[in-house]
Amino acid sequence: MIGDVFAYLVFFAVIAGTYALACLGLNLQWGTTGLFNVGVAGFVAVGAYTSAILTSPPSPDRLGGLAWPIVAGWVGAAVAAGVAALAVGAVTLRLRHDYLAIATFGIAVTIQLLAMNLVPLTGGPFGIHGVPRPFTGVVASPLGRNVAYVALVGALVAAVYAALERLVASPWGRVLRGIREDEAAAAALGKSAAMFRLQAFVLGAMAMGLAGAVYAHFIGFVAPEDFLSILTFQVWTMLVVGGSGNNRGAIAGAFAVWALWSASGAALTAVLPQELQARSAALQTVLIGVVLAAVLLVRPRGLLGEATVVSRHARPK
Amino acid sequence: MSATLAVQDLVAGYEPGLPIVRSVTLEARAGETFALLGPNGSGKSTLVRAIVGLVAVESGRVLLGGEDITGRPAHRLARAGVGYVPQTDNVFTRLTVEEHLALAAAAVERRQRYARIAALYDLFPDLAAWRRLAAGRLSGGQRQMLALARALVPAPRLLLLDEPSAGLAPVLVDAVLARLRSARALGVTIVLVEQNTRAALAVADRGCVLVEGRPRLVGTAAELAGNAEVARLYLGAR
Amino acid sequence: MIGLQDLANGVMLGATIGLGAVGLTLTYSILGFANFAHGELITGGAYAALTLLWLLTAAAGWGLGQWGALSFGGPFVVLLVVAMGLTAALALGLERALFRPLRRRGTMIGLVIASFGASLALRSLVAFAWGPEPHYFTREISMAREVLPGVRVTADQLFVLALTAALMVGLHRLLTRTTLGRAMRAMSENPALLAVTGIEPAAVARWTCVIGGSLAAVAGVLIGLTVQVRPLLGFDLLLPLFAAVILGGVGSVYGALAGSLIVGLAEALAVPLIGAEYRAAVAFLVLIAVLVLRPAGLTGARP
Repeated sequence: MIGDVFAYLVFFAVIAGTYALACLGLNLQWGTTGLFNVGVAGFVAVGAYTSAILTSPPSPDRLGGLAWPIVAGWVGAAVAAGVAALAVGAVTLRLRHDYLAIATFGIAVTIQLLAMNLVPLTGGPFGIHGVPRPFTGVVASPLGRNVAYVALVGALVAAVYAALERLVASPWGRVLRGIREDEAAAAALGKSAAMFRLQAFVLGAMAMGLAGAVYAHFIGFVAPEDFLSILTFQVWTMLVVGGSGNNRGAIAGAFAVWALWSASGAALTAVLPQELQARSAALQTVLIGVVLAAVLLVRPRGLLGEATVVSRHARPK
Repeated sequence: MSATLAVQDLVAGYEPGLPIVRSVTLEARAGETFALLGPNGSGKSTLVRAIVGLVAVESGRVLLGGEDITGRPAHRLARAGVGYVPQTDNVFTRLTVEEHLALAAAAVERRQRYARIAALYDLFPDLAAWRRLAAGRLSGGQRQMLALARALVPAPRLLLLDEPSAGLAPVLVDAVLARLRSARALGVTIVLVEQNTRAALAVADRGCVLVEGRPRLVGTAAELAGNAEVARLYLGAR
Repeated sequence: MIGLQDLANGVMLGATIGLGAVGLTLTYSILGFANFAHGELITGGAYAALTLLWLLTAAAGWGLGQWGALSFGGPFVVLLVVAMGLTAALALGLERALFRPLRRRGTMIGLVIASFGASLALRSLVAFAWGPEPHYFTREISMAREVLPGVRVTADQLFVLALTAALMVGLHRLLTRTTLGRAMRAMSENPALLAVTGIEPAAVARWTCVIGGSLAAVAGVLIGLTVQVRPLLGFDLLLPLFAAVILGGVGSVYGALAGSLIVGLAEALAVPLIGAEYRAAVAFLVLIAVLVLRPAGLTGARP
């Protein structure tokens, strides 16, 4: 019993940590730079699939399966997500907020479409299995391996957090925040503003790609339905709840919303009759949606966020 | 049908706690033309927008013909006889002249609509010639005429104008002022915000100089025109 | 080989996208934000009609009816009208409960996020309540006839075209000859000026929701009739809808129709080349092309 609870907590911590990485990435893009990315799931997917393709053992009906070391896979994941962001960002970052949202949404949909259909590369609807788990062969018990994984994820989150905090406090970060708040200043900076935005977008995407890889290597496989728009929505909710513009808020929000999601899942499993169990995810989504709406209405700054986050210029008519 | 506009200790601004209009008290008597003068940023436009219901009122009162209209939503004030012509973005570029007047006439009782629109075409004969043109195709001066005509359709008791002469050539400024005089002849109370102090005082009965959200000088047009400070600051040293 | 049949399919697709796109372009320009939940209005319309049909079939033995070569009859039209009303109510509910309070409190981005969340929540509710499997209005199959050499369409499809055309004519008259229509066009440009002209913007917003929701419902019911009813019906249309709206120029009804036709044709013509699985990618490419080359769209003046 205690063992089960402990195992569950480990699982919880790893997943929450993964979300925290993605959320930190989104905070750099949105909270610091004001880039409205509604395609988070796409970049996470790119990272997860890249690492899976690079590190999984060879398979007869698929390309890839290079069986590279896991570290290489994770680096590759971040790089691939960064490259995707570069390609996307070069074209779309200068668009106004709502057009950027629509464009990034489209990207995520397209990436999911490719994941579903490029069977030789991605394994199609079945995805890629056999993604290697770290610490196999190093730590004996599964529980031990999971605890080690928690430690690894924790270290990663701490490292990314520290790096982002330094980045945001640096002159580079100050320029980003200046661009976010004042469109006119951005225009005055001209070409360089576009470069700054692109850099922030790429770095944020790399964090998301890393999150995808961490997730994939914990679960052991990747499949297209792990990267639907629900993922984007979860990460956004986490950022809003935790406090946009604040790295600690990003982490806090990830844990808080994931806790809510898990608790509601457990509650629904206990309450719902057998036939409806499979559909419980739908109700969890509704719950999270309500939470987001409530936060937006009642306390838009979230748990730890800044009081004013977005430029006044983005006000609706 | 005119009415007295009374503003009492009005405090208003775009953000709560950051008032731009800081306690303004003034009165535009029924049927008179009242000029609101002052330097850029003194709160003249904000004051008018607060009266009209587009800017939140923090405290104070606005009375029209004795009736408290403070904070009433803009569309209800428009139907209660308050006409407003903003300084910029004062026409719908994608609607035709005809459609502007028809839209304004929706606030008028059905039986009167046709008569009111006809009256406006009489007052602004050029508009009749351009009735099918989209406002976006009109020149600055023509748009100003349309904006003014639109506000006059429901025969308002009170007409507030924000810098109607801004950006217009002098001959067009005269045309606008001539229309204002016609409106005034109908007994409409007019409040005129103007940078062009000379033109404003030429057509106004009384006025007020607003500085940093507060009234600094109040008096008749003659008094203000003769005031040394006003002359120095706004009329150019002579 | 691309043939006339593909063109015909493209036109048909364009008509179905068009109903949704016109509603979306209106709400986008008049209510001032990109409503990601518009897809769910389409889905909602389809499920509303379907559920009503089930209820009436169970309670009073209703069938769909049959008019000549069409696969439906009078009762279907009744279902359509009721679905329009229910979906309009849903749209109004979302506006009242979610978008209006957010508009006062916050930013446009908040509205978009909230609409994204509402979209997800509604989709999940539908999947929860009606299940993920597809449903059909009727087992009747509308026979395809050859109307032009090499072009086969079903009577149902012709009905879709005719109804779309009729609704567009009606909408045009509304927008150009009625006070509401002029007020809607005015509001998409300048709500404050509209208020000062004596018309309440909130009332115009409500009517816009009703019209947008009704058109979405028609789109949903027609797609449900000619294809199938499933929870992702509207969501899968979202990208083509946005592509059509932005291509046409946000706020322009004719632009949205033209954009829909172009997107529909592009998809239908691309499918023989790249396969049906990738049709959503076609809409995405159209969208990106527009955003890169001419974000204002075909009819827009400013980006």
